[in-house]
Amino acid sequence: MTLTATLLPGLSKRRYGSMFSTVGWAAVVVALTVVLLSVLAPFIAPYDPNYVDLENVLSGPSLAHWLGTDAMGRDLLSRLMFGGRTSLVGPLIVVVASTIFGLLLGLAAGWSDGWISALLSRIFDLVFAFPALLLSMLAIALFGKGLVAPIIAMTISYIPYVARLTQQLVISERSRPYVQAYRVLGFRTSWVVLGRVLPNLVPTVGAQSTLNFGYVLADLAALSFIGLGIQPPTSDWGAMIEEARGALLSGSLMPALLPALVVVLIVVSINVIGEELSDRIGGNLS
Amino acid sequence: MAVTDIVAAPAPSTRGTKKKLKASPVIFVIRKVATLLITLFFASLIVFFSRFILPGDPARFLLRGRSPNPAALAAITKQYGLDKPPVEQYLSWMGGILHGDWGRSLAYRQDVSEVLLARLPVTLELVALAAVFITVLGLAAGILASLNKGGWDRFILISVTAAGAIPPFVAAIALTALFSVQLGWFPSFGSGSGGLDRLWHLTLPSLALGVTYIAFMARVTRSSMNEQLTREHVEVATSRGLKPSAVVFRHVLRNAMAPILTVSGVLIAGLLVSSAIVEQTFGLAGIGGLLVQSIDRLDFSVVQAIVMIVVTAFVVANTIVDLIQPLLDPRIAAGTESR
Amino acid sequence: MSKLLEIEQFSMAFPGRGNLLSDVSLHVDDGEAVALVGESGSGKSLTTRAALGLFPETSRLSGSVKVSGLDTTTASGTKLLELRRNRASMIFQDPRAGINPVRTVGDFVTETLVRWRGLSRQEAEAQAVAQLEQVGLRRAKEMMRQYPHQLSGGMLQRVMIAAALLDSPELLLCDEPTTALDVTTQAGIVTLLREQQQARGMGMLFITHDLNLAGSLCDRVYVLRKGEVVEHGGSRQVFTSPQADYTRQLIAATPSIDIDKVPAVPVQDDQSPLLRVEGLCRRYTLPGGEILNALNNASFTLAKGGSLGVVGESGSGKSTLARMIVALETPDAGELEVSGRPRAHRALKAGERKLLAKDVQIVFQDPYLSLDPRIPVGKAVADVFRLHQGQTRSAALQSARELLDRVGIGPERFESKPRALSGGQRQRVAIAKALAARPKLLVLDEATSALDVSVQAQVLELVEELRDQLGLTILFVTHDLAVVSRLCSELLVLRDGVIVEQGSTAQILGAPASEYTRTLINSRPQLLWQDQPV
Repeated sequence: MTLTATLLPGLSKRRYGSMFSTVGWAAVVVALTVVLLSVLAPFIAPYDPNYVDLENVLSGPSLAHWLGTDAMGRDLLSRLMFGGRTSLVGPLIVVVASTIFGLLLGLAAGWSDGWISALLSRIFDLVFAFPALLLSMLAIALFGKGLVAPIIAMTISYIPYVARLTQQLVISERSRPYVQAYRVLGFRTSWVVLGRVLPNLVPTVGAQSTLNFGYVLADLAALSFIGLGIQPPTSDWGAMIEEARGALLSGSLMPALLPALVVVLIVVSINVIGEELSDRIGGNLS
Repeated sequence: MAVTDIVAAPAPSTRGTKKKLKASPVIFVIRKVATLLITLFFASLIVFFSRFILPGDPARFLLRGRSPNPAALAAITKQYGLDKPPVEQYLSWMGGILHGDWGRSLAYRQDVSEVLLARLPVTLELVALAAVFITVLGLAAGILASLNKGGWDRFILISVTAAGAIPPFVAAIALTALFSVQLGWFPSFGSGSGGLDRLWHLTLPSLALGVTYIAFMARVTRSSMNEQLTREHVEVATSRGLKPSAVVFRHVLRNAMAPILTVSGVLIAGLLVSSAIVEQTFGLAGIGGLLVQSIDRLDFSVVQAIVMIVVTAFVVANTIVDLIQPLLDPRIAAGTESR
Repeated sequence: MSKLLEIEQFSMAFPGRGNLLSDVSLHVDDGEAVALVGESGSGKSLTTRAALGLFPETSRLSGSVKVSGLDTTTASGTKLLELRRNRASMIFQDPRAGINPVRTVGDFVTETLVRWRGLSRQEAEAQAVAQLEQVGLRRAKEMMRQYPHQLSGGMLQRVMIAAALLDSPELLLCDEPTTALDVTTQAGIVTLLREQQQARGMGMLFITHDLNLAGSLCDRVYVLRKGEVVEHGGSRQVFTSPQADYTRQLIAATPSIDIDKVPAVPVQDDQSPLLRVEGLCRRYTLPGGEILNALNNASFTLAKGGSLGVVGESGSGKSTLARMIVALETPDAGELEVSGRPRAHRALKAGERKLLAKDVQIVFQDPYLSLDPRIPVGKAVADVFRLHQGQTRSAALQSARELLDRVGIGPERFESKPRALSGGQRQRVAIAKALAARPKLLVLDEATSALDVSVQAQVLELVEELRDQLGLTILFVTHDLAVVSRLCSELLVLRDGVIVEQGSTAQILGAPASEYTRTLINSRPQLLWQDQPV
């Protein structure tokens, strides 16, 4: 044990008891704002996102169009808000599904002995060999463009991430004296695993899943950007950037940079939240 | 202070008491390579048989978007041996791959291997250049942050958090907007004609490709070094009068390399996959761009080939990392320390 | 005699945490061995590191720490390097953590010689080998090419000492250098340090939590508590007539072997024993493929109401035995009977486990890991009542409250999570949890060795009370003979998985039959002014 190690927890910048640092709270506010604007888009968006106004092409910010218009005269703010609905819902499905399946498979792999555990570990390794974006592209090649195929593929890809983490946590947890004490006390294994061990893992796994959300969002947007994801007329942030590339090369930056900025903002916020969560958990458990 | 048995009661593991082979370097390498081959075998099964989860006539699937006249259907059925049992189809596909015959591209009306070989150099150059950026900038930023607590650390941490959230396609757009459109320093399209021109054309794409990974590398380096800095052996080295620079190089950086190497293996796969997006954006004629175009043109045999190549690259890279690991940390070879 | 190390009015503070050290003054003369004794959190490590100018970041210092006149609180970087290279060396607590695991032993030992003494690699190696041999390491030449994980803890600590001595320091700082080692290994290291210190005329500052160890090695003692020196003086004087209350408590709490205080073996009636072990074996296959006989052909019985101490060093199989008794491990061969029920040679089924739980419970070593971090302590105990006594939620909570109160955890702690409790309190909760199942046999696996001595004494007292009042049968696994000598009427000595001696505690301690037991007893620190082993 070294001095720096023993002294660090008490000297860390974050005040004890506070959930997030100032930066962390800012990230929460940004993420919540983006989510709310997207969810409420049908009620608060100033325009129909697909309303073409060829008289008002590539206009800068104005009172009528707060963020200006794109090459087809569509209102950028409205398109960003509606685009958020598609951009956010995909990652949400992937993260929720991969977390649930990953937790269950990870628990099974971590708690069981012998061939079940070995088989699951091999399967995780195999799926790991297919990066999420690659598996998504293979799925699109098979099932056609759109978001359904990549969402299923990403879910499959992210399951081993969650499962592997869960497995490692379970293995380290089950050798801990408190779990062994439960066994010696005669509690049923299912009660110990689901009632006691699982809740202790959820925060760590949740932090990892939060981080996954950012990665999935970026990957799905990238697929839309290269034209393999969401198909017109529906649009998301990635597709908006793609649509605006022509304008970008001719010097109109806003239509491309605005959705790009939103993507970065939301991913930064999610990453900051995820990291602060896992730091907090790490600090609490040690 | 606690009296803790160092050789604590013989590993209270209830799992895996099965007999293991004696740890020796040769066995270690053989086992890793065997794992590699098995993984590749199963991966190839997935890649090949993925087509079979689709219902309907496989010939029609392969000819999607093209005229499905009976003559063409018959031709494709014969070419792919679609009337034969699946296992036989797989064996002939796999045998072909091992002999350099990757099948024919429907879109290019060429052998897949020819199409790929023509595209491979650009991708390799792109990834290599990105790897240079990642290694140099990522390591430098991580080391700098770890050794300079306070201002620098905070600044780098913030930059790295921001940079880590910029997906390659966003980076591509932003870099194009700034350096091509506004400043006109770099081209926004094409892969140039060899030599310096190629380098000039690949600078923006490789930066776009690398930015997330630079941030990732910086992060891993920083935390790995910070973790080592708290170790007692570092304090011991300091207490013996070693200069701070010697402590950092001999004991901190040296020990921090193992985790950094581990993530490098994962990183290579990420680079190859993300190159698809970057090549497509910058109009580079690499295999990543080819993958996207082949999906677009419903050219499934090319897609299969590229997926197989990327998976192989990923698995091989990770195996190499696993093989180097024991040289960095002798405890891994001894099996006392698992990664 | 000049003052080699002189610490005057030294204070160290951290923003927001107040003083960790306040007005510490101590000195070490040339050739003198001085001990700094304190429990965890006393600041003894901070004090020693200050002598080398190793201060934690963001600490605020006042006062002075002078080594041969050089004040480390104000000295420049180069002066500090010079001090660490030529004047003072330090030996750390855990040699396994203190030597870079990815470099060879040779690299560690010769590092300083090559880097600034200007020696060639061969010269440095020759010197290093000579020094390694001098500290009692055979095969030193081969050892130079080995990695730390290939050596034992005791060997590594000798390597660490050799490395420190190579710099011919005037001042040797030892930070609990034997705490991580077995008793017999500790004895060897202490002898080595004493010899080297006297032969070289070094000044030595020896930090320890163990008063007896301090008394066995050092002429003078400083007692440190919460960053303040509460007492100092000649070792003998501090031992025999302590002035400060804290020192008195510390001396009283330090376990010692006193044959007169060994509990008598209870009268055996004819009924069958509570625990019967016959030819019990447990083997492990190590990662290298070797087979380790963790426990070999162990046989003994423990009568109801009896108390058995299982003593052994690390790797003796004592924990394996404890874990088999509570069915956390499955025996490979042999019989194990609790309450007359023979144990199956397979993992137990849920029903069997629950039945066994009413017979035997265990308390583990590490108080920080043996409680579920998320569950309030009251609920943790109540859960056991609900499971085993079939009580309703409210009845169980009431029972838990009473039991926790009984083990010294007041109702104000009932809703606390383990994080909010001290190590001693956690161990009390762990005991309560085990007792809630109303077991006949309580296994304590090094249950007090992670605690400070004063806390250990209180927990031992509690165990003693519970044993007497509840008629519990106790099986106490420990490395410390003194701890069991007070608590257990019978003793069993294990070495490398084999029982080397068993019988009544008084008889074994008074007239040990085996060589190993004698070594174990004699390895306990002997106070300098006592000639005879106890």
